[in-house]
Amino acid sequence: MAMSDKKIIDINAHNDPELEALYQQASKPQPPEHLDKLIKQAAAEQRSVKKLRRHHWFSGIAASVIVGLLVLQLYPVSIEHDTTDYLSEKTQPVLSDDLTQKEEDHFTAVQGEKMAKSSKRQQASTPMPEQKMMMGNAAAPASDSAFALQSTTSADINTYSDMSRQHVSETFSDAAPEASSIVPAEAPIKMELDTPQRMIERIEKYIKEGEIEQARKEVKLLKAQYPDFEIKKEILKRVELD
Amino acid sequence: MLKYQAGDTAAFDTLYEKYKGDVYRFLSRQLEPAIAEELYQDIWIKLIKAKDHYQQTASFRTYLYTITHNRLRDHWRKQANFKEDTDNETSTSLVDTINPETVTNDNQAVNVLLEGIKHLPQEQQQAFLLKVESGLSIEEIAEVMQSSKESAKSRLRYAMKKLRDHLRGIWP
Repeated sequence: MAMSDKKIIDINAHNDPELEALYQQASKPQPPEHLDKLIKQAAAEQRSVKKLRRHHWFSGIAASVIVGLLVLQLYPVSIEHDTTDYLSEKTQPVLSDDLTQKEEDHFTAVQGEKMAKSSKRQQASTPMPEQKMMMGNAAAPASDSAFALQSTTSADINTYSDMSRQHVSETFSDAAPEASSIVPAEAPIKMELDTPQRMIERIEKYIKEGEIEQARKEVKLLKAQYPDFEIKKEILKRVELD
Repeated sequence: MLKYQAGDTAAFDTLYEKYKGDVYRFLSRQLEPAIAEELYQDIWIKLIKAKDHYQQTASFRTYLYTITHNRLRDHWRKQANFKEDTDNETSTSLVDTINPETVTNDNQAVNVLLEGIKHLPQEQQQAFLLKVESGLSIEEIAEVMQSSKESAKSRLRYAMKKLRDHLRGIWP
C-alpha cells in the first residue's frame, strides 16, 4: 500500500489531528501585493485624517467662538434699533420726554374748549386759558364772572367783573405751561367731554328730574367757564338765577 | 493595536504582516477569489477606521476574526445564500459533490479536502477554518461566531464528520 493510501486510511480513522494535518499540507496563498499597499496606505492616511480632524475640530471651535462674540456684540444694537422703532408716533407717548414736550406744545397751540374743560376738572374754580384769548379780543366782558354770581347788585357786578378779568389775566398769563404740565396723558380725551351744549343738556335733565340745586350748580359752572355763552332765560328762571 | 491607536503606523504594518495570510486564506477557502479579495479589503479598512474604538478586552486575533466573521455573514445575507446551521442538522453527504475520478495523486487528497470545505454549510465551514487555519480555541471560536461554546463544538464536530465522510466516500 502506498504511503498516500496509508495516509488516507489514517484519515479515515476519524482522527481530527490528522485531518488538520492534511489541511496544513495545502498551499498557503498570500493576498495580492496591491491589496497590501492599499491597506497600508489607508492605515497611514487614517492617521493623517485624524490629525486633520483635530485641526478642523479646533478651527471649528474657534469659528464658533468668534461667531458667538459677534452675535453678542450685535444683539444689543439690534435691540436698541427695535426699541427706537417701538417708540414711534403710533406707540404710547408716555415713555419719553420728547413726546411729553410734544404734548405740551400741542396743548398750548390749541388753546380751545378742550383745554378749558380739562383744566376745569383739575381745578374747578380756576378760569380756563381760552378766556385770555377771549378777553383779549372782547371789548368788555359782558357776562358775569364766577365772583359776580355771588352778588346781586349791579355795582357789585361791575366790580367783580373787573376783578375777575384781572384775576383771569393774571392767572392765565403763564397758565398754558402749568395747565399742560399737570394735564395727564389722557387729557385730550377728557377735554372734549364738557361743551356748553352738553352742560345745558345736563342742566335741563336736572330740571326735569326736579334736582334744581344740581341744575343751579351746573349753571354757575357754565357761566364761570363760558361767560359769553347765553343761557336760556327759562333755564335761569327755573334755577332762580335770572 | 494599541500602538497603532496611539499613532504608530509601523505597529499596524507589523500586525498586518502577521495576520494577513490567515485572514486571506480563511476567506479564499470559502469564496471565489474576486469576492474574497473584496471582503479582505473591507475587513482591514473597517479595522483601520475603528481603531479609535478598539479596547483590549480580548485578544487582537479574536477582535480581527470577529470583524471578519461579521463581514462574511453580511456577504452571505446579501447573496441570499445563507444556510442556517443547527446542531441537529443531519449532515448531507458530500460524496456526490466530488467526482472521485479526479482524485489521482497524493496532493489530490488535499484538494478534495479543500473542495469539501467549500461545500460545507457556512457556519460549519467557518468553525472548521477558524480551528485549522486561524488556530483559534473552542472558546475563541464561540466568541468570534457569537455563539455558545457548545454550539461551536457542535459545528466543528459536524464539519469534521462531513469531511471525513467525504473522504471515506472517495477512498473506501
